[in-house]
Amino acid sequence: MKRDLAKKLIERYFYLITEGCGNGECVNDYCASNKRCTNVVSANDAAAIAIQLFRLDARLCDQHPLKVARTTNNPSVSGNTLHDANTSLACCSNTQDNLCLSHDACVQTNHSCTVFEVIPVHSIDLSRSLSGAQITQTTSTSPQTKGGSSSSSFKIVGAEPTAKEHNPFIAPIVDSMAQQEEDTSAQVSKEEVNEDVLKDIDDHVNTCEQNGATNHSTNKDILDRLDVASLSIPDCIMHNVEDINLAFMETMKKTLKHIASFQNGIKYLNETNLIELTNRLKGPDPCKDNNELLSALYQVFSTPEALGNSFIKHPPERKKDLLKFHNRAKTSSPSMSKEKIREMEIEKELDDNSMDEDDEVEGDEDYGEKQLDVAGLARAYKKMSSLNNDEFYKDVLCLAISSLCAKITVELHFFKSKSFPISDKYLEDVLHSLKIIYEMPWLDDLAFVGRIIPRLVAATCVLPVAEQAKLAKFWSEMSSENTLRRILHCLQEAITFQLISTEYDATFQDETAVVFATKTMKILYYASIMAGECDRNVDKEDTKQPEQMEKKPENVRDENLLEDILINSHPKSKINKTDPLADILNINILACRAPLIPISKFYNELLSDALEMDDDYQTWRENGNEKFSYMSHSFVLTPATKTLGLYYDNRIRMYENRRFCLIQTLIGQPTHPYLKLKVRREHVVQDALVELEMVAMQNPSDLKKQLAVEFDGEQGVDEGGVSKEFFHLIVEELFNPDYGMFVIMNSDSGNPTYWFNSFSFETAAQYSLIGLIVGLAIYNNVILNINLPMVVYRKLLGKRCTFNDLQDWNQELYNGLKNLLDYEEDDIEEMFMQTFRICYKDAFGEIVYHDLIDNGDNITVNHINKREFVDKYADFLLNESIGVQFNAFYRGFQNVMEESPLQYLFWPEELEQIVCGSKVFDMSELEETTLYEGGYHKETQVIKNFWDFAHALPRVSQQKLLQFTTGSDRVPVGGLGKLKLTITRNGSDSDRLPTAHTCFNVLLLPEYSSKEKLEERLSKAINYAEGFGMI
Amino acid sequence: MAATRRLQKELADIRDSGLKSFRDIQVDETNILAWQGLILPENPPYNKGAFRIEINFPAEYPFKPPKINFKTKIYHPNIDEKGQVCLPIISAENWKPATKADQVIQALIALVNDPEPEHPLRAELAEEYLKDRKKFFKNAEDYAKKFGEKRPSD
Repeated sequence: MKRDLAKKLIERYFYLITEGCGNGECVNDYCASNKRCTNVVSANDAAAIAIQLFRLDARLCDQHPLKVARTTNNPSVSGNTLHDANTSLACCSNTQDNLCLSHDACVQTNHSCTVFEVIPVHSIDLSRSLSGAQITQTTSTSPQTKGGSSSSSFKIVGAEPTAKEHNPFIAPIVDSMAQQEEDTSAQVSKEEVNEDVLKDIDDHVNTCEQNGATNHSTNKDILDRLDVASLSIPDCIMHNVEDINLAFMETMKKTLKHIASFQNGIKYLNETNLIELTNRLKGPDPCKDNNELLSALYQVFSTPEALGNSFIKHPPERKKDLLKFHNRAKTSSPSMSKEKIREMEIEKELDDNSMDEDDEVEGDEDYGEKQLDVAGLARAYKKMSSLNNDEFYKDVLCLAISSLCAKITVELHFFKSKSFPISDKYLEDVLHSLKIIYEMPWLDDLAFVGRIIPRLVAATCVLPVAEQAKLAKFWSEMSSENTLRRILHCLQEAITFQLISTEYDATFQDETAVVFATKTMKILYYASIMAGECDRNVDKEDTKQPEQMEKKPENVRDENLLEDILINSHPKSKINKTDPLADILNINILACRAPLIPISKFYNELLSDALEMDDDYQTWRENGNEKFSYMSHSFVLTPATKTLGLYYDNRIRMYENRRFCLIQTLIGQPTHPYLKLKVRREHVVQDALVELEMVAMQNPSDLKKQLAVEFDGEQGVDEGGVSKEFFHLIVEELFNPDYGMFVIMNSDSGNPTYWFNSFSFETAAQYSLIGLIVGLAIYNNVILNINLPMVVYRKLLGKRCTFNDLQDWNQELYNGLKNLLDYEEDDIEEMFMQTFRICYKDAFGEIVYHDLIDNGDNITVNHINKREFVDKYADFLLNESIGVQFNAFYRGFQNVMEESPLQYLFWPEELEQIVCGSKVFDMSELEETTLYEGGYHKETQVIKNFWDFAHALPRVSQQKLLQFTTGSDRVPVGGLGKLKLTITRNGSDSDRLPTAHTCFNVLLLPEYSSKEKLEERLSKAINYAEGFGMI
Repeated sequence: MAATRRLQKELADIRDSGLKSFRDIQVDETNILAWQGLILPENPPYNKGAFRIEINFPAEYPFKPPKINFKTKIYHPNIDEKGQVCLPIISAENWKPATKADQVIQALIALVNDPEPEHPLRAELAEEYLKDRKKFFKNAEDYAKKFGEKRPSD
């Protein structure tokens, strides 16, 4: 049945495009009869467009008379979406008799009381979309004048320049009004109107009741409900006619009072009038008022122009209010004779003379920069949520928004492809509308995620990049974190929902809903980055470095062979993989220290699991950013999947190399397909250095081959294990502080890390070797046991580190300097007595002085130059002092990684994770090495209880426990066992909380009498502990 | 001597102020970052002896806190056998560069004078301190006599 219906509809679209409806004045943009429509399309294109139109539920001219004389006379007036829906409903009735019966009345009078809308599920597969097609029912609002006097939804913005110049909204409205008046006076007698309207109202009562009773839930079981509706409506009409009659006449009078002054009828909502409307719901005539609110909601939320004018900041509130009333009056008035309107007009003028004064100002409102009244919008939404039948309103909104989004999508999409100019005003409206919708607090309702989000994201994605950037800016500046989190949650849900509900499809680069959601998420992702904590003016780590260095090697050429060669082999990558949106927003991920929403929230595990990374990688590799690939939206992927992407990248390059080798072999120049290293176990570093230097000298690209290590005199064949051993040995040696290349920092705190020894006697080549090793380890998927501070990873990804990075490097020093910055007293010079000469200890414990600026010793730090001091200090420590060592290290690393997508895929935190592996959080390791004092021992009951509790804790709480006892939640090199925790008895059972000395990793635990008490006290301590102090 | 300029001033200030409870300050001419001195607690049981401490200032002082070590063995719930002491004012989290060395010393002396058994480093001493003050006093006094240095007479 549904299939037939769809087929028919598509056929009608097709003929609409190819032949038109026959009406010379048709204004439907897709109709061939439309005079403005000059495009001649081929049959194939027409078919494609027809399907597209069907999916988007676009407008269809009324070709076949549907028993309605007026409609046939004036097909051109059918501009309103409700009417559209009606048309499609009429089509339904052609095929579905039961519908036809029950809704004849509506169709006949053309007052859409009940709207049926076909919402196709987005998918490439048409048949799927057919089976998934949902017919959604909802009650409409006030009686509709058929002409779309409310709004002209399908107005082509670019095509009506003259009308637009004056006021984009007035022209069509005036048109349709005139039309309407003609109609009504010519064809419909007053009685007829009344009768029609009566039926209308009846329907409303019905459907409202029905909604109250059964429709609160979602509208998924539509067909059933259609039956119910078709049965119940006629009965009820009969029943209620008498009662309604009188009441109806009263309301008519009331509403018509306002009708006169609506020529300037721009529609919009704002906080005041929306709340006003909702307040009115409590009035004596709920059905009528309901209609007002519903009508307002539907109409505003279904047209970008109207919604684009809603909730604007600093509006002349009173005026809007007033206009709103007028609009409401207008929408709720059915077809009415001109005479009648005149009569009412006079009454109206008498009534609210005072209110009319400032009416004219509205027209020339400044459209320069529209500001969304976020707070007001939030309050308005809240008010709506508090309504009795809020589900019902949400359904209406849902319907309105989905048609709005469909409109936006089709208009922007088609106009873009036909290179129609899209007016800025229209784009602004669309953008504004989207902002309003995204702010909705119930956006993550299940019903919304399924029905709205796919369309919403589609509409968002057809926006030009500049508008997307504006949206991101808006989100980052105006929206609350909660809103962003909610939107993110929605997008995640939508993706997940889509993945679960559709059959598994390996190539869902084309699964539009998922793709659109991902693209929208990108906007959000950037917003989150912009809203997050950022460093000021971050430079990229000098990309000029290689050039700078190129001059240098002349004098050191002999000793630094490896160095030298690495510098000169520096080809550039080919495909431009930067993101245009990021460019506009000037996003620099490296500058971002902590995005507003943690990056892990963006991971979609289901998507990551389902994704065929090799296909995706290929798309990305071939097309860069031109075609969609998840590699270019890597924030949605988990690090594991991203690593897989890196792995494919590595493998593909390795195989390329191997294939090349094969060819070389065939033409008689055999080379080895592997990067072969032969080392002696006792001289790993020297041998590796010599071998790698040789390779780098002869053929640097060999470094990208798969590594195969052989230990001299051993028979192990390298299938991975031997190279792991090799990495382990070489790292252990190179990072050994006795070796002098690295020093251990923060050795007395909980988390010692390695740092470059700026006084190392080793040559730069040694550091290059380490860089190479780290690169090779990533390349060969080997995890290294090194603990470098985050700063190193940031630097590896190309950032020149600043003061904020000092935090990861040396928290203590950072705190001290931060204190200097925050110091406000006047005696800063006497208090700190700090000059621009700083003092530090080298690796041998000798004190070294360094002038941060010339003559630093004589320049005292004061309030004016303290920032400069701190920045220079940090720059010296993080960049300058280790420049030689790090640059060598970096070049070695780059030599292996330069063409890889590393920088596009990973955050520094994630890079650390691939280099060092995720830190294993093994509490039993901790338990084994824990010492006990004060009478405790392993077998003490309270200790047993403690470990039971500690092991059962979730990971996050275990980290908190660690933080509480040791002051750091990080796993030290070598695992938790290296922590040497001490648990000391702190008196017998008492109500005291456990305490800790983070200086010495001591936990003071009173001997609690019961396990429950221990757990209660301990959880309290770890969850509420913040800051230190003496008790 | 930039970073040490403040230290030198602080040292001079402390010497000038003639603290009774902290005296005999010795600073190596070549390394002003390491101080030694005697503290003379006033409260029993520690008023029977003098205790040598060592203050080590980091090169980054005052941006990083100094560290304090007892060279003389002391029977005290808040000071462990190795002479380490957990003084909140110089913990990495609480340290303020505006804090002067003399405030640190005052805080240390206060802690020695009035042990804080609620927050012990040596739990068994804390318990003894709480439960059997007499015994604790006696032990502490014996300790002070046995290991402590002579108090300067003036």
